[in-house]
Amino acid sequence: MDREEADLANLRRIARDIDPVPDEVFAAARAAIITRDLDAELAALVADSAALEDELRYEPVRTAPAEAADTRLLSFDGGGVRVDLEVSGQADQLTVVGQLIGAADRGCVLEQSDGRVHDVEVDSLGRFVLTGVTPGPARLRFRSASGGPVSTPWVWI
Amino acid sequence: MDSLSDAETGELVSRARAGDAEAWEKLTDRYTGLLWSLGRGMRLSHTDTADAIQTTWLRLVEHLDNLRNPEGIGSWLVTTMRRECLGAMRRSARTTTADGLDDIPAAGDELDEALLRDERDAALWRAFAGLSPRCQALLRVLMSDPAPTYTEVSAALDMPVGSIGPTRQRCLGLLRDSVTAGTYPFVAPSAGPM
Repeated sequence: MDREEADLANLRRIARDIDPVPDEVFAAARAAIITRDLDAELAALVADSAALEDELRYEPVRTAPAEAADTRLLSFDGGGVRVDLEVSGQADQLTVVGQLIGAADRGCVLEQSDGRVHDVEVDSLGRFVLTGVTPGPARLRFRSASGGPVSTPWVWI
Repeated sequence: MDSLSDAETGELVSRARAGDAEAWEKLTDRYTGLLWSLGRGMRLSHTDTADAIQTTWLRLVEHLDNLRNPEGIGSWLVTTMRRECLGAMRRSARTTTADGLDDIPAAGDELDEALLRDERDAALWRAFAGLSPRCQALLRVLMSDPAPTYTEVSAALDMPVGSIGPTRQRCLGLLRDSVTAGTYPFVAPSAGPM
């Protein structure tokens, strides 16, 4: 083994010592499988103001005010339902303002990857406000007007 | 842990699809270290790296039944992870648009170097921390255990397979030069005036 290979081997050992993968990261990865849902239809992410991909960006007319207000906009479409979310705030206090179009007005929840489930109270126009959401992976689950379960994909908010 | 062949990986995906919990655990154990190296190599914090990894695994669960190439799951995972990391960097620094590894801001390293009691280890790690963001990201991914395939490294860093070997040699050469030149001398915390 030459000098460079020895350096890489030493770096690998040092990284394992001073920056190991936390056990809870392994545990969370294993637990992810319990979120598998073979029944729900997926409402796909169709726009995201924080997207890296051009095709997911909103038209400029919508992004400009959103970015000024430091608000992230997300839109989902599928299962006969359209979902628009506005995520604002920071640290441990995200506020999610949303509107569901074509969904049943009961049985809507926001799931976080730490297992917490927020009941979402949707008004007669399909609107809702959630406060105190912690940043991290989350998804919205609800029923379409015809009663079928629908879920958004997990997004990191 | 040993590396798995593509066929073994594809087999694990098939078993996980069929509800085999042990196969899923093996998949997560095989790739979580690589995802951690990628996030940390891109200089995300512990918390952000953990969230990006969790998002990546949740995404895989969503797509488990419609993955087009189960044997290439490693590449799928690191590609998803890199996108999540870039998204996190963009959200945390809206004033700069981070589109790639060259744009990663030099964040303060939270690693506890005090753990490095061995002087040579400390010098080596400091030399590593002084490398370019691209070299650090590449070497960090190459350090992960089990070692990633070059296809996975290519997907993780959005870099052609053919340039990994030469870049690796160049980065390790720069590292060695830096250690030899002693650009990052170790100073013991307790050292008094000399």
